[in-house]
Amino acid sequence: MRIEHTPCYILHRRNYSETSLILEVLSRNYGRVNLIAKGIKKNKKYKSTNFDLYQKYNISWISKTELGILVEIENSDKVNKVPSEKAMIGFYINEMILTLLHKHEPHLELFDLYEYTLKKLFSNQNEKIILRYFEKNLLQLLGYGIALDYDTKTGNSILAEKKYYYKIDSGPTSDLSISGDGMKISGKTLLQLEDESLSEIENIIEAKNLLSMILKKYLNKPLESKKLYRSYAQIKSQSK
Amino acid sequence: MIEQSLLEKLVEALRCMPGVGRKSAQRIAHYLLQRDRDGAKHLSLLMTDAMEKIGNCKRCRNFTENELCHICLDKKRDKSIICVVESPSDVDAIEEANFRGVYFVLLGHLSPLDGIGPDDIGLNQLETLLNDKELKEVILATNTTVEGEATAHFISEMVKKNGLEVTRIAHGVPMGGELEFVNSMTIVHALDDRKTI
Ligand SMILES: [Zn+2]
Repeated sequence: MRIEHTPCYILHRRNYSETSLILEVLSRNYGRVNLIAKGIKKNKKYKSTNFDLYQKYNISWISKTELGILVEIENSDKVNKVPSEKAMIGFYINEMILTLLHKHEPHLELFDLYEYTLKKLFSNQNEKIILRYFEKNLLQLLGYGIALDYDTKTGNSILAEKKYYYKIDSGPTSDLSISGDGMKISGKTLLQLEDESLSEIENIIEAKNLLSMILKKYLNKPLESKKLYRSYAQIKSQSK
Repeated sequence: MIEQSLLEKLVEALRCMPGVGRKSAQRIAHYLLQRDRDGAKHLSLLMTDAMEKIGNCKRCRNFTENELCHICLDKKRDKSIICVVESPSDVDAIEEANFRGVYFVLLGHLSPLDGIGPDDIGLNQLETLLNDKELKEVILATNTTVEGEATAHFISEMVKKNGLEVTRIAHGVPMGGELEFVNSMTIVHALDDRKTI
């Protein structure tokens, strides 16, 4: 089957031989696919492409086996300017998708979420907030429903001024005597994460703790890109 | 099953070289057998020797059969400038441009999704070089891919932490290049880095 001109982002690429690349791609209509691009140095068709991460391409490929063969690639949009520091954060977004999304599961909304997140990230908005919305939406789109706006025990709406206990498996409850895996969290953070209006540092931190607690359950191991960013942040905090 | 002949094995082995497919491997094998058996024997001895003895320079990580490579040992080299590159072939390319400083070869770039972190590209080793009193400037000449840029950015923070000057090689339109054939990312950079004349 030949697939024509599909909007795609390259999530990861590696050299296959001196002249070929293996690309792990997020396509708008076919979900995650792996493609091989052959003869990238000789083939004139590829001259104007860099096979770069974070750029939207229109890709055509032939899919016979698990590994599709790339036949055409062209820039589909104006190029995204990627500040180098943001490139490192992008690794995390890509690794999350590669870890949580199965291959060949079409996911239009996820493609749009990815595109939206990159745009926000590269336009220098606070990544500490953008990443939380990305994590929340990714989990929801992939069906790991996370309850944020109602008390899972009583069904009542979450109140901003109240404290809740967020149980990993079920969600928030005002019954603070509850035990099991979870954490205490303010109603304000839950509501702001739900309607994407996080602004104060304490709520941002709470949202981060909540999401990393939930993500830990679905990710089998710590993400490499997160480790890298941490050591980068550590060095940066020491430089004058 | 019929065992592979020696010739078949040779053709198969030749394919470990980059860019050599089945056809070229056959051509090379036939040529050597017909015309240059001595040359091939010499090559095979040298190949064994090289693969056993060539390691990496203790200081810059470039290929060498000694503890330190000839560039690091060269007293006339300017040790106050280190140029950081991804691969030994990048060293060769910059040597042709008559660079007189010294190098640090990463032998790769940061690539968390492949599990390649700072220590895997020798950044702990680079850190010790940054403490050298003679050192004044670090030039980042990693590739202009996203991974290369991220690597350069990471190293730039390490260098700044040590209070040294750090520069990035310019990105732009290649000399002798025609604009219409240059990809859009390159043009974006060339416009950003334009200078007054
Ligand atoms: Zn050396």
